[in-house]
Amino acid sequence: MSKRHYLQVIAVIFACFLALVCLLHYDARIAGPKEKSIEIILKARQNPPDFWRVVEQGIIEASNEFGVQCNVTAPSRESDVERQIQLMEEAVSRRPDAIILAASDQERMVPVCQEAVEKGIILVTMDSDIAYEGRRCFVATDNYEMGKKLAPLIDEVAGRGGRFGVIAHVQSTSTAEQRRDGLLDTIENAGGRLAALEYCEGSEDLSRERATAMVLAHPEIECMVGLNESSSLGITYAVQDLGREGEIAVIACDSSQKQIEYMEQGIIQAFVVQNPFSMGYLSVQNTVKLLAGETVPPVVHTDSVVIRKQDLYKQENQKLIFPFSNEGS
Amino acid sequence: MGRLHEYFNFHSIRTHMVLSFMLLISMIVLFVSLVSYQYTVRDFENVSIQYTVRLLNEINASIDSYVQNMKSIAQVVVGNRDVKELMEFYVTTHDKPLSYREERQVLPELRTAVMAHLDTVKNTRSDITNVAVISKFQDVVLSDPRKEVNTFSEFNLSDWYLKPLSNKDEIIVTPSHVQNLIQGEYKWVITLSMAITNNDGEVTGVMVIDLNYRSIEAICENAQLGKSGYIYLTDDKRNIIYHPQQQLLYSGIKTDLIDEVLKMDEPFMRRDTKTYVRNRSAITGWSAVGVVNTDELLTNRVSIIKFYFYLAGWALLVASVIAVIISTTITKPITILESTIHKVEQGDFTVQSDIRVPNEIGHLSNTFNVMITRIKKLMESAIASEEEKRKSEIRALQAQINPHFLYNTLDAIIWMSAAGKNEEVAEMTAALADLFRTSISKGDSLASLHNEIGNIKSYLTIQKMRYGDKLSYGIHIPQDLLGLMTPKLILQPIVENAIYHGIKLSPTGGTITIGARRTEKLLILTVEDSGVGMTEEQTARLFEPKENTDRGIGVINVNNRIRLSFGPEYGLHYYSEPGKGTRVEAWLPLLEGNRREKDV
Repeated sequence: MSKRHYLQVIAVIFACFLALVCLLHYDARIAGPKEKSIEIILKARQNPPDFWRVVEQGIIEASNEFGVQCNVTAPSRESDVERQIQLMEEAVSRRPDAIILAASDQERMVPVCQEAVEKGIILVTMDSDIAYEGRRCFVATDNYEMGKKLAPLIDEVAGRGGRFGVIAHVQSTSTAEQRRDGLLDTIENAGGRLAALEYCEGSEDLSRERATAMVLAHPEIECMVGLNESSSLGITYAVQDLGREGEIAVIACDSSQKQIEYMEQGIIQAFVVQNPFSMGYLSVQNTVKLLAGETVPPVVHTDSVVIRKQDLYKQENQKLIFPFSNEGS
Repeated sequence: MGRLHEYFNFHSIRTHMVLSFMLLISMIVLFVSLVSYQYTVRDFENVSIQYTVRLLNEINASIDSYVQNMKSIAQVVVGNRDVKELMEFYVTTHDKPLSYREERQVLPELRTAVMAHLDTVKNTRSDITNVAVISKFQDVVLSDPRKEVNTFSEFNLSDWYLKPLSNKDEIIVTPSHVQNLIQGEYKWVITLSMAITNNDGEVTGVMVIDLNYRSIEAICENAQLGKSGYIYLTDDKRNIIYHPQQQLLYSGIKTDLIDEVLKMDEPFMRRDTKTYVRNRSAITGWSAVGVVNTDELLTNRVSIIKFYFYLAGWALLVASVIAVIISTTITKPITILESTIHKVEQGDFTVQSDIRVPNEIGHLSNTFNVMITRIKKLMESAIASEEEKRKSEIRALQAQINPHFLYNTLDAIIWMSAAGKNEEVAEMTAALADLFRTSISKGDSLASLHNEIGNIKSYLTIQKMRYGDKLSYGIHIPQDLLGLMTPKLILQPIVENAIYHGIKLSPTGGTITIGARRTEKLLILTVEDSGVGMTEEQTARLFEPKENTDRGIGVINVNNRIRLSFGPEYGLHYYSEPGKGTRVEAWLPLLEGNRREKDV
């Protein structure tokens, strides 16, 4: 080996040494990344149904875990599309890194969403999608699948030929439409058996009113189906109002403490629950991934589970139905 | 830059040694650092696992004491006289209709007393959500009079109710579950239950305490396991009692290694990036599991790496300095020897290497000294022999003069004898003898100017006799110069040349004048003739070697002798003009006569 080679070897060793020292020095000085901010707009929040409360728990859990700043807002009523557009505009004006939206209306929310995306804000939808390709990810229950799960339950409680009525929440909301389609596509002889289908604009009172009218107008109805929490509760109240507990079976979507009480009392026979905690958590998780530049699937589905009265307190169902809370509700 | 380059001369042994040392040291330092690093990291991990085990022990101890505390609270409830009485009342009146007094007075009073007692117990701690007693026929008394019993709760099928009924000594602690005993409340709690017995030891009911997670959570959360480490509690049946992300586990988004952790024999195990440490409490049967993110150790690892790097860096720096010092010490004698040899290379043979180190370089130095002494001797003998050679050459040149002149003089003598000039012959022969006496003498090639003049006088006497009136001469030497030394017989060839080529060719003859003067550095002898003179061309060609003629050969010899003896700055100089004569100057060094033996 010539002397020049020695020199080269020494030079390389010293260079590596220096480089590593610099690297370590630099490494030690790297500050934590700036906290990302995410605006989250739900369908309802004030005086909330349990569903959105649990979604928010999932959001909080994820925001703590991933170290992001989440600001959650929502209209007071699910059907208040105007208010949601307004909230969306306010959110855009705060220039967050990302917005997560549970759209009340899949068409009317599009312009404001376009505006957000044009301003470089990452848009993720949750629970209910919008008719706009610009959103990067949609986290929701597979609502069509959820609708399909309702069909055998109707057969169970009303027999294979029994007539049924449906109260859905908000027309033109994707969740309502997909659950309705899933149910009607799956059940045998849908046209012959469906007595009536009404919308309640996400209001328990309206659902109660229309369910009462529906049952009175169609005395042959053996089973009432609510496609979300508020419509289901309205139906339950209507059945109680009419004194027809046990005669008219109630199949519900989503769970709430009241629904659980009614199931314990035998008024609600079964419900299909979504996993709102997962939905909240996964929507934030996927948004965080998008903010980090990772790719995520355009649609992320959370599962739904059928709960009947007899398996309400099974260990695995307890975990799903009762949101875990250390403080108690 | 030049100095730096000199300092790091790539072709020096010193640089070579320094670099070799540094390479070697770098490799050793690197190796040692890596090994130490590995050991330190392993050590560090062991320490952190031990720390986690201790922490879990403490947590278990806290939970044990918490549960013991709860059990003693339970004992207080179970041992209460009112409670026992109420349960006994429910059991004895179970299948009998109550009397008016019993229904209106005894039962409400008893219930109120029990409720008050339960409420007191409940209020002792904030983590108790509910205390209740239930008779074996499912009569429930809650601690809070405002709350209603959930009539649909089907608690009579649950473990926490059934187990104490069948086993009066057992205290049941359930895993976390949803308690639906109270209407409108569905709380996740841990339920502690035990049997209530009457004075005969028969089980009459069950006491229930529901605990929220506040205390257990506080115990588990207070323990810090790095930034992202956490602790969870599980019972032997894989039921989670506490987990910081309980809802995520329940939603199926996350899973934790519960089966594996419960099955493991070692106190800890590593999976992917996490280290699981487990510690089971014999009292509750619960396992506290610490989950440490192994990546967390990375921060510590970075600081360890840093430490070793700085250590290695300093070691290298110090080693480099030492390498330079050692190399310099070793190579310094070599450098000195090299510079000594370099002096010899430039011709100085007087140097001696004075390196006195008892190693190879010392030996080399000694050998060099012996060698240089020998070379010096050889050089001296070479110079001596060269000198000898030159002297013999000079002698040969001197010898060359004599025959020429001898022929000529003898010719003259012959010529005069033939003419019958006996007197002249006698005079000339005497002069010749005189001439030869001064010329052919022992010793050095130098003679005093006095002798040289004597010699030339004899010569001119001979020539005067040959040329008669055609030749006249004059010798004018300052008295004080007579003692200076000159090479022998230098005037004679010049005078001879002046006669043969100057005066002899002149129709009117001529005069030869011999003089001497001294300058600061020179003794200048002059020979002037008033002969035909020479052109500049002739003068220039005077010292060119000639092949086939004797002409001027004596003058060339004289010139060569002077120069060989004294150097090129001495010699003969001719100044001549055609028709006007020639003057020759012999430039000689000033040599004092007492240096040499004065010749005859």
